[in-house]
This record gives sequence, structure tokens and C-alpha cells, in this order.
Amino acid sequence: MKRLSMLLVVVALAGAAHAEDGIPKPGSELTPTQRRALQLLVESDPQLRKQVEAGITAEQIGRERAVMQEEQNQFFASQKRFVLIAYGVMWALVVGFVVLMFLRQRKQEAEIAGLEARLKALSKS
Amino acid sequence: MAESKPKSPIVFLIAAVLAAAGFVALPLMAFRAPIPQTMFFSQKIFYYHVPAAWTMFIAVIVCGVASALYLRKRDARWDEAAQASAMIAVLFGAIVMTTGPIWAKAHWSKYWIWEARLVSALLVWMMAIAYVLVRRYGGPGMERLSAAIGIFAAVNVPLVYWSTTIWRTQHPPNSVVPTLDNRMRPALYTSALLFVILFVLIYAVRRRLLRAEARLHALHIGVEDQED
Repeated sequence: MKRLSMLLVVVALAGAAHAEDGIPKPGSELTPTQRRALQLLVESDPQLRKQVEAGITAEQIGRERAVMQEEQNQFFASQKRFVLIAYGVMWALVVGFVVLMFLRQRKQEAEIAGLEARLKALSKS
Repeated sequence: MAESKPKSPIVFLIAAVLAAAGFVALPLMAFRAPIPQTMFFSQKIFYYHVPAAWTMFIAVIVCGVASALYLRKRDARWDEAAQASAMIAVLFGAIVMTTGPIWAKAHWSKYWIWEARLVSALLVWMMAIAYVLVRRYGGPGMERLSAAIGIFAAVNVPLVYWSTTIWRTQHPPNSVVPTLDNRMRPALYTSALLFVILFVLIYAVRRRLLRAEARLHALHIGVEDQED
């Protein structure tokens, strides 16, 4: 995580120093201006120098970014799934309840009609 | 006995149309509303979890008030009103108790935590279930016992509401709704209105069912008397 933060700082600073060149795209080669900006930054910061010497490339930065993006996408998808499940459960409960009431009412109506007919027949006989 | 022709199919039709309209409109409105900075996408559950809780509280209070009036006046209509709303409290409580833990899992990574708001709401829901079970299986003469349960449940509603201010809870406080972003209000209030309308419609159908049940009971007795 610490390493990743450092990487992002390097890229962001380079981008800020030379806005006209923008932040390098993942996997792309640095423009001469970007390269010069990075060089200046690295020279002015011993810690950055160590990191760069350890072999950080734009490709690595791109890969780290892609991983982060993928993690974010997965998180959003899981959140969306929870919302949809909750919404589905809510309507399933309401519809289930209404259908049960409807069926019960029909059953009651049939039973009432049957009993009324029976009562009528009994009172006649 | 002159029985009016049942009008329930119309009520069912209105309920179906409303439910269908709500089913489409609610997510559209909710998804267009912004998400607070400290929340994730799962915050959208708020738009049906909170109105369901409000409706559950309304149903429990109606049940409690009707139960108290039944105990005082011994009028069967109040008992009928209490019974009808108790069942609705169980339904909306079930919605609260399922959407809540789903939201909790998404936001807190846990389905359930034993804190004041959750436990007190669970207790009120269980009281509503107890009311329904007592009425269903308690046999004759259970009206007064169930009325007492109904009153007890209603008395607990303020406790659920203020639980977040009385105790330290992880559940969002009551101040969330009054301080809500104006762009979030239409979705919340539309959802609340839809739930209240559903409550009224289901209540009307439940009352009709209970009346039919009473008529069925009377008819059974009539037939038995005639046969004897």
C-alpha cells in the first residue's frame, strides 16, 4: 500500500508539474518532458530516488491502477447486488401476502356460498 | 342477514396498479437521488427500509389503540381493527427485518449486531407476531390477552424511535431524515406514501376477510343447529 501511494504521488506530481503533457497512460512510454520532470523530482527526493532505482516503471503504475479499479468495480457490483436483493425480498413479501389474502378470500366466499345453500336446503326440508 | 356484495376485487386491482407503479417508479427515483459522501451504493435500501419501518410503527400503534378501545368498549369492531393491523405490522416488520440486515451486511459487513435500535425493533415485531399467533391458535376468549399484547407492543414503539438517542447505537440516528438532502426527499416521501396506501388497502381487505370469517363461523353454527 505504501509503495502504491508512493507511485501515485510520483505520477501525480509529474502530471501537476507538466500539466500540458498530462498523467502518463498505463503502460505508455513517458514523453521527454514527463521524463525530465520525473528526473528532477527523483533528484530532489532521496526516497523517491530509492523507489525509482528499485525499478518502478509506468507499466507497473498502470497495473496497480488497473487492480485498484477492478477492486472498486467489484465493490460497486456487490453493493448493487445487495440493493437488488433487498428490493426483491420486499416485493416478494408484499406480493406473497396479497396473493395469500386473495386465495383465502376466494376460499371463504366458496365456503360461505356452500353453507348458505346447505342452510337453505335444511330449512326447506 | 343482508350481506353487501364484496368489493375486494376492485381493492385488489387498485393495490395491484399502485404496486406496479411503485415497483417501477421507486427504483428510478431512488437511483437518481444522490448518495451521501459517507455512504455506499447500498444506501439506496434506505428508500424502502425506512418507509417500511414507519408503516410497521403505524400498524402497531393502530393495533394498540384499537386494542385499548376494545378493552374499554368491548365492541367487536375495535377487535377486528386491531387484528387487521397486527397482521400488517407483521408483514411490514418482515420487510424491515430483511432489508435492514441486508443493508447492514453491505455497510457494516455483518447481518446483525445486538444494539438498541435493532433489538427494540425486533422485539416490537415479535410482539406483533405473538398477537397474531395468540389469535390464530389461542382459541376462544383470547381477545383480551391479544389486546393486552397489542397495547404492550404500541407502548414500545416510542422506545424503538428514541433508542438511538437514549443509547449509543451503530444504527443511523433519527436526525438523518430531518437533515436529508432535498434531492433525496422526493424518493423517500413517494415511497412512504406508497407504503401507507398499501397499508390502507391491505387493512381494508383484512377487515373484509375477518368479517367473512365471522359470517362463516355464524353459518357453521346455523347449519349445526338445523341438523340437530
